[in-house]
Amino acid sequence: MLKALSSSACGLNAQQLRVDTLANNLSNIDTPGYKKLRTNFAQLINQSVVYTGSPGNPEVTSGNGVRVAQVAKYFSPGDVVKTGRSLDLAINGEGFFRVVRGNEEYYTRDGTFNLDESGNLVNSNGCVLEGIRFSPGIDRIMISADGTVEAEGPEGISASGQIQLYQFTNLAGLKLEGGDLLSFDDTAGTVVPGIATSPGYGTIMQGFLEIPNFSLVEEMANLIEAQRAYGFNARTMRTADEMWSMANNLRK
Amino acid sequence: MLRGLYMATSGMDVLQTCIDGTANDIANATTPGYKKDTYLIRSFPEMLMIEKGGPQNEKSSLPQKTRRIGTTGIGARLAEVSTDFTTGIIRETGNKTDILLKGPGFFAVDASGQGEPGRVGYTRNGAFKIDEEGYLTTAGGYRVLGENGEISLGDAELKFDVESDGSITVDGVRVERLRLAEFSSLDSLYKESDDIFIDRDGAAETASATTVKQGFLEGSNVNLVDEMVSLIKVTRAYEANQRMIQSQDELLAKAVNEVGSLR
Repeated sequence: MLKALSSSACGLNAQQLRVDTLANNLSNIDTPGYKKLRTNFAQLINQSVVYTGSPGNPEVTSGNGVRVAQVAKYFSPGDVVKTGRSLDLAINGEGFFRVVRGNEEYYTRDGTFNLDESGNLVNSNGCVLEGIRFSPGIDRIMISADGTVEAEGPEGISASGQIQLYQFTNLAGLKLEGGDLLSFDDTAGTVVPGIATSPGYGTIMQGFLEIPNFSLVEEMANLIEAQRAYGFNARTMRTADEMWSMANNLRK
Repeated sequence: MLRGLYMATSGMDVLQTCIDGTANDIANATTPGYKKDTYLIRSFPEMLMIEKGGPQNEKSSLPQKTRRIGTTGIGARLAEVSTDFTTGIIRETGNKTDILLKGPGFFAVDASGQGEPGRVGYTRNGAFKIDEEGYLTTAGGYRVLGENGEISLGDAELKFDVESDGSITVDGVRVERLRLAEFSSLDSLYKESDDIFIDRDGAAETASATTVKQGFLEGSNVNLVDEMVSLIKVTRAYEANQRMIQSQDELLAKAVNEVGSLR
């Protein structure tokens, strides 16, 4: 009886975590460059159901519920939409931007940048895109597909640097930080810097943003499934409880 | 009298195991590639009942011989748990690492461990992921096997394609082929944790009728309506057994307290 209770408890926990993950995805529906998370389930260990000393086939086994084997991030590309803003950048390919905050470095696909007082490009998390600096008083910023940044000011057009892109020998080695930043440590793979337009890195598109790589319909369908599965597990738990109560009331 | 008490108890025991199984199936209703269990309940072998020393035959002064009066059961036991291998619901996910098996086959995975290197497991859970060392793995962390061993894809998560025959290509270059297995009899498959089956009789054959499809997943084959019906059925049967025990108890109480009472 306790096993039925604990199996349904596992089920409730797993579905709850799934709803949490879906909620996280849905709340990021407007976060540029967001990559969806998915919970992957696996069945818990199988055990013999025949107790020692009782007759029966000891190879008769049953499982013990479910576990969340992993919450995985899927890096498939999202759609690119036009915004027309000169500091919105989308990567049409697989590269990542590298941004720094103090001594910490992060990688991101979120290309919403702003110009700060000292002429740096910063994103919404206050991280700076390195290697680019603008002199004060510029009118127009032009970023080409290979990441070359030029600024048009009173003195004419001047070069302001080039945006580098980065790739990883293993995407699974990236760790999730807040604000859709990813951090990297060298326990898994290496970082390979490169120039946009070279094979594998993709091109930089000025005036565009990458939207999240999930669809609302898909998430809603998953949410309904998770909610119903939660209900069924709750129902099993109630049944197990009722049966336990019957056993307790054997002797009136 | 006491025999009936134990019969009903064995019924409650078996039904309890059944509810454990149903709970497990429901908990795995959304686990990809999960195969539900079916519980087979049998009665214990029947016993022959013999009457000894019955009423005297009027024509003879000798006591009547023992007389067979039929058989009786002595309760229920769980005979077998069999796995139902019907295919689950198929849905599109669009993820490159989700692979669907079309046909009766299984993916081969590396299930070594516990001092058994090279042990091969089989699964239909195609929700794969690339692990931190760049290998294609199942959700439970087992590395998927290709024809030449573990499949190293490195950073190719977005670039690899799987053809219908299981060939894996990265940027159009063929790197490996998924090892797919089929079984003439699924009875040799023994269910372990993490949706892995172990082939105990070495019955695995190279797949001939199985193809794969990338971007799709096979769901669990648990039918929640059936599970609900089974929950109700089992609860009611459990209740009936409980009533039986209570009736036996009342009868015993009468025998103990009322037979021979002078009141």
